[in-house]
Amino acid sequence: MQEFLDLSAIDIKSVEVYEQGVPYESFRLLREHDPVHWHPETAPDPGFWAITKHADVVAISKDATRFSSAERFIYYEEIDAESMEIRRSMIETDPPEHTRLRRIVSPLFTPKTVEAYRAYAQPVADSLLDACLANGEFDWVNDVCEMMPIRVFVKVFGAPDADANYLAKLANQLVAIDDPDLAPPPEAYERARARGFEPHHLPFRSPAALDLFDYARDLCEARRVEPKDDLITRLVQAEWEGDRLTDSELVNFCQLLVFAGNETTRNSLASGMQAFIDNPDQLDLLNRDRSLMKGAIEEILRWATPIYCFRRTAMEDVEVRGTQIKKGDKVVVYYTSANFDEEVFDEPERFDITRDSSAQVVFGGGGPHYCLGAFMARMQIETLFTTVLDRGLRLESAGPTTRLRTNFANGLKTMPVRVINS
Amino acid sequence: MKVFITIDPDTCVGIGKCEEIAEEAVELGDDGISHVTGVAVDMDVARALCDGCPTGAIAIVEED
Repeated sequence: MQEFLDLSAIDIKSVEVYEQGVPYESFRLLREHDPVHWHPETAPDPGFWAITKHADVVAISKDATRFSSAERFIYYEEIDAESMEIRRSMIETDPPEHTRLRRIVSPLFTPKTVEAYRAYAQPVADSLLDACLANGEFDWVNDVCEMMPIRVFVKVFGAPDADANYLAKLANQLVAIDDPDLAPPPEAYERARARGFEPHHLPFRSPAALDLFDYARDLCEARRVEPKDDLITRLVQAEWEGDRLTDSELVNFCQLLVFAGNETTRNSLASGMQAFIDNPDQLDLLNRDRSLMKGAIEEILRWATPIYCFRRTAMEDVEVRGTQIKKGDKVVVYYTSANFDEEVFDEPERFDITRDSSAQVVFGGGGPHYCLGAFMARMQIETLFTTVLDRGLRLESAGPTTRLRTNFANGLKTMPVRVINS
Repeated sequence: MKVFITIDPDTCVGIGKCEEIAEEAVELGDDGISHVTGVAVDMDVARALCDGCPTGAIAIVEED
């Protein structure tokens, strides 16, 4: 008798699911049996098409004309026109508007520019590891991963070093509105309401975004008056064909940088170390042959996939893998599933730094929205793990890890570790 | 056969994939987008560049 497979019971949206762990088995079932899967949602949300095959994630990502980021933004939530007006950043635009914004900021993130930022990253990695090694037992996420990208970010951005902790807190509060440990406090919601902002008016529905807007606005204003050699000054002055960023574009871009530049890198550094603790042979291998580093970074990225998915909206009736998608439908592309697609990655559940992981879609499946900070992320991953190796640092687990309660960012909250050999 | 490529400056957003694929043929400029160096490349490299460009900004100009 053929076993009946009930795919309608599959849940790849609930925050509770992701808090327990990435639902790899659900994704595998969908890739195998229903790669363009209609996933119901609780009313009034309309439901969405879950895209789980690598090839489809790539094709849809590259087709910004038929699959829009601007129309209804890029998250599960349904958004109204007023909120879109306040919240729109580059990531929620389509060409040609996207091209205009991207061209203004892309010179700030070229490999050459990022190479210069390595001088910021190395001392940060050194000082964080120094402090941890003195303890012997520490939390890899809170003591290292959370602090490294934000400390590099404040240097690059041009914010005072002392603001790193404040910005790290806001970055956490951006992605963690559903997580009781990290969510913004009730008074933050009250403060936002008093200024006329309901949660849905704000990026990630988080009042922390308002604090970030305020912070960015003040810093931009200060640099307009007194320019310095930093990213914020370059953003304020950035120009392409006579065009500059508007005030709303500026603060939304800063908010995007705090989220995209920190949370994702932090989570990659965390998952990467978890992978090496679980597969110490891979760390030994990398240590013996440092020429494997470039490939190892891609495998760490694939393994970590710090963003589970983004949403697009179909701008016309379109067929994907034989399934009819209607104009206006919500379409969600799952990078997590694509990065574990057996058709592209042999034995995807194996962490293997020697495999060719260059097809990973961590920075998006291609297309105009390909991650602006890709070189920045790679540089920080390389810096931290090279430093770990140079110091002969070996870690083991000293307790269970806990996961972030969100269906958006693949994040670890805590990861207790112990130094076993240094 | 060696071929030349072109990069459409209105489509390129400076992702830099092309430079990873064939640094002899393309260079990510200080203006934030990629430019051809004028060096001809093998057809398979040119195809990899076209397929690898996330925004589809690269095209092949056939030359002998």
